[in-house]
Amino acid sequence: MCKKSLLKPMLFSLLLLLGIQQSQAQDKVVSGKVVNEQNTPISDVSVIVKGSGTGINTKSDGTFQISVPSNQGVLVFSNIGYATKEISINGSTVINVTLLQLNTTLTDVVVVGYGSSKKKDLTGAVANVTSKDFNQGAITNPIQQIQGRVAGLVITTSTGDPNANPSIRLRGQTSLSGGQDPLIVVDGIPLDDANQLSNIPPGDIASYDVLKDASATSIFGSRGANGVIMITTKKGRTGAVKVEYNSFFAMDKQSKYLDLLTGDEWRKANPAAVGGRYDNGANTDWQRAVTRTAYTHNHNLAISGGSKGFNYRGSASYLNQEGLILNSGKQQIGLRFNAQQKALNDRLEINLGIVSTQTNRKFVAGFTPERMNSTSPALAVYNDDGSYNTFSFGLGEQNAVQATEKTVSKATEYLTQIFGTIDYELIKNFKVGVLGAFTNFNSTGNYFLPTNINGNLLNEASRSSNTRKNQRGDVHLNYLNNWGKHNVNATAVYEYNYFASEGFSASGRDFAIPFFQDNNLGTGDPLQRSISSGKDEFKLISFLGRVGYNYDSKYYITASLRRDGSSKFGKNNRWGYFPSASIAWRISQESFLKNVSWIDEMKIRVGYGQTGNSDAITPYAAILTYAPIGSNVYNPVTGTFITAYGPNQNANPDLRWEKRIGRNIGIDFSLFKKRLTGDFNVFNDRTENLLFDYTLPSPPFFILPGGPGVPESARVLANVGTLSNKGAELALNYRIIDKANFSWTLGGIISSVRTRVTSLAGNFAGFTIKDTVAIAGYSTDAAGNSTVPTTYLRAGYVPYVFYVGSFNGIDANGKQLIDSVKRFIDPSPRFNYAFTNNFRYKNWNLNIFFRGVSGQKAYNNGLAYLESGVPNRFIRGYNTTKSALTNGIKDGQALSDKWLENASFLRLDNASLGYTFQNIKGVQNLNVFIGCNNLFVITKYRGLDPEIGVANANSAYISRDNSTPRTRSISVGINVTFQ
Amino acid sequence: MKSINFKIVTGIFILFLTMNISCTKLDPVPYSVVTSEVFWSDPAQAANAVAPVYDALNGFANGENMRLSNASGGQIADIRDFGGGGYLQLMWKHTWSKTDGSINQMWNTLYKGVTSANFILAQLDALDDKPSNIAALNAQLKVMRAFFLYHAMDNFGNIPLDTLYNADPNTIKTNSRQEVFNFLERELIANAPLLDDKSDLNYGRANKQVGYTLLAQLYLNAQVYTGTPRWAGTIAACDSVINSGLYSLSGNYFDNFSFDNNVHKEENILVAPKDRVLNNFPGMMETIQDNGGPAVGITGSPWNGFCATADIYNKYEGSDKRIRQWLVGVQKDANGTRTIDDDYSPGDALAAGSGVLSYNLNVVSFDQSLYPNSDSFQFAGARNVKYYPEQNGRCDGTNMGNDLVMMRLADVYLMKVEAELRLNGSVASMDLLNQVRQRAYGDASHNIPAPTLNDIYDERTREFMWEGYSRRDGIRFEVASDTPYFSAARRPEKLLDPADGHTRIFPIPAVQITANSNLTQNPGY
Repeated sequence: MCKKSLLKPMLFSLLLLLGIQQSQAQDKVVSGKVVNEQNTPISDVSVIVKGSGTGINTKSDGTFQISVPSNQGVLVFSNIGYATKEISINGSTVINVTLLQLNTTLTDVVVVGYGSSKKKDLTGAVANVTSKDFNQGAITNPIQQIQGRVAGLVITTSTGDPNANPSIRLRGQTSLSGGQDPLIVVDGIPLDDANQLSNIPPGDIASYDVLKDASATSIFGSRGANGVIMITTKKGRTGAVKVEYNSFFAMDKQSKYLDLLTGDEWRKANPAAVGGRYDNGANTDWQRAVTRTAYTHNHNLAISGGSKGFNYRGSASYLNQEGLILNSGKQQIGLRFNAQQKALNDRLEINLGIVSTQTNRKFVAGFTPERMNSTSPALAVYNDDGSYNTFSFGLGEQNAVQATEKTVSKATEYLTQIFGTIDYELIKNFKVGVLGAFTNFNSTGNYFLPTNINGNLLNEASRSSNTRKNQRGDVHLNYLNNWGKHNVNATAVYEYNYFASEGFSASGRDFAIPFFQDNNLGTGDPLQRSISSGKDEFKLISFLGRVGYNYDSKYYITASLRRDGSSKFGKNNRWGYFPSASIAWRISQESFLKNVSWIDEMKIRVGYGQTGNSDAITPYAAILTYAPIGSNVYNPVTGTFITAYGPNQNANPDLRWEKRIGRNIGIDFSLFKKRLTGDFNVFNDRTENLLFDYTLPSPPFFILPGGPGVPESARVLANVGTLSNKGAELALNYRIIDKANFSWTLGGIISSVRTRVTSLAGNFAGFTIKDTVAIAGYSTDAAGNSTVPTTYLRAGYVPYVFYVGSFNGIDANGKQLIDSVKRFIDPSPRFNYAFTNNFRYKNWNLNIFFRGVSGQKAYNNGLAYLESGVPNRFIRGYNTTKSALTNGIKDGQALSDKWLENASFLRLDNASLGYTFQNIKGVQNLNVFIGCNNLFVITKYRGLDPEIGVANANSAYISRDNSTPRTRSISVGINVTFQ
Repeated sequence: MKSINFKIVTGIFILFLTMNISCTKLDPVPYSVVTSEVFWSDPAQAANAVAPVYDALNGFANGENMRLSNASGGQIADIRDFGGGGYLQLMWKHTWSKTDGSINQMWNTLYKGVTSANFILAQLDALDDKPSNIAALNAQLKVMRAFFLYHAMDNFGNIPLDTLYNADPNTIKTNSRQEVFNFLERELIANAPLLDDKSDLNYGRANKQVGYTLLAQLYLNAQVYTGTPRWAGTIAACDSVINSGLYSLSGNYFDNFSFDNNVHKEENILVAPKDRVLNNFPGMMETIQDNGGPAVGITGSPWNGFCATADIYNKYEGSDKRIRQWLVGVQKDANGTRTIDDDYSPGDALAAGSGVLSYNLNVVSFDQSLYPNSDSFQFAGARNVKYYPEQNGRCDGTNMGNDLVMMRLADVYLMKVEAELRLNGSVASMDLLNQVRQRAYGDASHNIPAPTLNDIYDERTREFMWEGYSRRDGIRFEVASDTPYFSAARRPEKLLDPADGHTRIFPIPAVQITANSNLTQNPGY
């Protein structure tokens, strides 16, 4: 609570500093009510006295009351989705207004790269989601607000860990080595890393615009290949000071438990072990012993307003999210302030934004999720005297409760952003502007492992600090004009980006005084200290331009060109061009369709564009560098061991971005008096110059040191192969019933994308690289080590295709019979879909949202481990499932299609019921809701959850049950606005 | 008005063009890695530049090269349960295939040494200001490169012989064993004399005696490589080492392998120096059973697996001190307390006592289901503790610092004895053989008056157990005598190899042939 009481005065003083004045002395009061054509009250309509900057917003029942300086003057009524209306006061004291609904699918302003556009004028595939359509409930990461809302955008949350990042994929996998995350742009400033999204409080976000096809993303050049998500945060607007408070409280529990043996069942199945090393006579349910009902509460307080060309909004937010697993969680405090000042007859516009977020993370102790399923249930958590029952055996089996509670693994993250723009209308229709932005992200990690946890004899501690900085500046020109039916707009930008990253870490072992944890690293064994640091930087310089032309808002053509240069690229390919062109035809404006009453709007779009992906290229990937390799080497002259320096990568002066060539055909429509709206897109994308660590022959090439998941080998990061994505996506929204008191809207999306690695062969420096077949993911072997090649990257197949033999039962000895001839199995989903039902009855609102995946397969490595070789598992102190007692498999875990399970699912992702209170004095809007996330899942998958992470190549479609299980949550929330 | 607008717009576009020129410098500036130019510009840094070659030697000493040789030569049976030891069982049975990852790892380790040496030689050559000891430095790199190429040729037969950094990859093709042999012979004869004699300043590095020992090994196996024996050459090369007088047999066989073997430098010619913190190896983990740590004074829970069969163990007589490298029977800790294997349930116990850890020599099979109970499987085979861990209570079995021995004088002695016997039918330097045997038995009572070739073979087996010689020795004796030392059937589960002799060299790894189609696969694969 102390945080809240602190934040409020801070915000107010911030406002005072900026010299905000309340409305001036008032003379006369005008009141009234604003409704739409169906006579439904409209809340949050801005009512402004023209020319004065005085204004307020309507309440939830549509009423307003405003003080005006005189009997004369004009009131301006405006709201998104409605035609703005001006009404002269003419001495009236009551003014009732009916606003006409615009076709919102057309007039909404959509943020596109380096500018904005009305939806009707768009020529690319862009999806727009505004706050009224956000998912409700326990939202802790902003991207959850639009999960399942945009066709082609697949957001996968594979774990209940508050510190895990969801994977975000737009139109499938575009790269093998590079990042797959779309570029996230918040208020015009790209985030360095999509995961930084988790550092942005969800309550501050007003809308998402998802740029899907290459004609829309090409303007982002070498950063645009994975699509772009433009996020617009809430802004103040002219009117009285508005105070918004949003809050929710949620409870999470593990949504599914494995059907493991109890201690008694374990002893019954394994009589020889009774009283042995793995039996304390206990009945421990480790799944429940290390998890809990996790509570989350979230608060967001915002103050906004504006007058006379100055608008502002400041917000403070606080999130405290307990992790399902003991001693884990996330706590976040955020401040955001933005202001706009217009001056010189609106010719000058200044925008300023300041963001600061602190996130405290407590991570799940290593191996806890695995241990909670595999440890003998006959072992006790505590000894009779209440101390921990310490044990250690096998592959890291430990008392999971002890390990979880005693391990310290934390991080504190700071995200700071300062940005400003100045735009000036130099001459009519021609604006020039500059932008400057600084982003600073720091993460400090703390780690302490006491003695005897994880089988370590010595305690150990470490501390690390990593900082990422981005400095960005641009100069931009905008030109907008029309001559009769000819409309032209043009944009030109010079942009400079500097990225730097610095890290430092130190660790020690064997501390005589464990009390210090990581706060006094120098006190450990001097021979076992380790320090490391690193720094890198790169620059990205861009020139870009875009010209749009339309004739009579009927025929559109847009063309753009970006030129990117980066210090990351090889010296032969330091600069690249990224062109795009798109055309659109608003066929509904043609005379032959003007009289077709059921067509309100129809637009056909065709787009082409080139984008790039350079995420896989680290700042110095193109040059031959020296770094410590492998082991320390003895130097007989000094008698000491020295760090061996050697080449750690091959030079590639031709290294460059992956080129993605996208083609898209789409149609947007609005039919039956806007009751049925939607869009349909078909795309055919191709990634060329595919970046990959290609295998080289040695000799003559170096054998490079291995890395995580990469064995020691001769290889080079080069642009060689190709990959294709083809797909279609459909979004529909149907207002089935739309009455004043009752409405029912059904919305749905479905998308399908087919991805193929088309080639992994080509030329590198005059040498022909043959088709590389790379092992992508591993399952575990009989000993529990992740060493069995399971998924592959191979030309002609989907990325991460399985290559496994068929399971043909077991022989008399309980040995699994597996075909030695393996076959390829495509695990990728056929369709992703989601549908939502929204019911509104008077003040009640019910939203039911389903999300599903069809045709996906997942390798259930978690159960393959638990259920293979049961007799041996007992001997070694492991648990198993009840169903495994009769499966007869006596040998160890072996790779076969037995464990490759159907992971299609349909999830009731979210259901929420809300109520809006009317006519509360002093309250503009009050809304309460109760929601439930992950209410149920329909699936044939036998593991904990079929939604398996695909973000990590090593484990794509392979479930090891090695992260926090998914949760089911119930939340209650309140949204209130005072004015 | 129009013209003013035009000027402004023009002016701004000129501004843009100016930026194009001034703000587009994009050369990368590294911080925590260095470019080759910067690295070699400092002589002090360049002095450490040979380190990558010895890093490769580290990989060799503690890598697949040693394991594959010991397993295929019949000295290591890997009975790791849950199937973890599968690839070494293939080695044992001689049923490996060209897609085995372990074979490719061996290739990579060897060519890591070769390509590192090529690279460093090229960098040194390009220096304007060369270090004063450039000739010795070059010779050292060339001898080490010969070491890796020798082992590549020994294992793979026909291999790409590349001695140039930045060679056009399209020109790299398979060279015959004869071509590689000729190159190595020339290279060693030319460069060994340029090296420094043994001193503390080249411990763990290639010195003159390393060069001649390698030459002796090359000649000793020449018949295998080229069809033409070079026994006289072997003797001459051995003499270069012996007559230097710089080496002598250590008094205690085990001093060569102890945790402080870096102070016993008299016998070991080439070692990969290790340190328990800075560069350790998990020697005890690979062989000792999960609960067998207390018996060897380590604190960790080992992995169980590498063992030897009765056929190997029985080559040692009881009076041979070298038998102490084996653990057999009931295991006791330093206080004499029997080690309890509490992994095992009471019903699973051996007759010897409830859960008492006791290694038995009965390696029946690699298939666990063929053992009467899981104890007898887990406990099968003798365990080798030649590299004994430091008894300081701090060794968990992974952090061992014993220097790994790659070449030692006893090998030079036995090479000379064998070459004499093969060349002349009798041994002139009996003293060399007797020195080795007297150290083992403590006195002259076990001296052999007229050794046969088979005696030499058995002596080498006992002396160089698990030191990476068994595959090469078996093949050499087999080629020279047509007796199947290497390819014979053996217990458990190994059948007689096919008569075509293709198992005497490993296949070129499939990955390497895919990467470079100019390489030719060895016959039979």
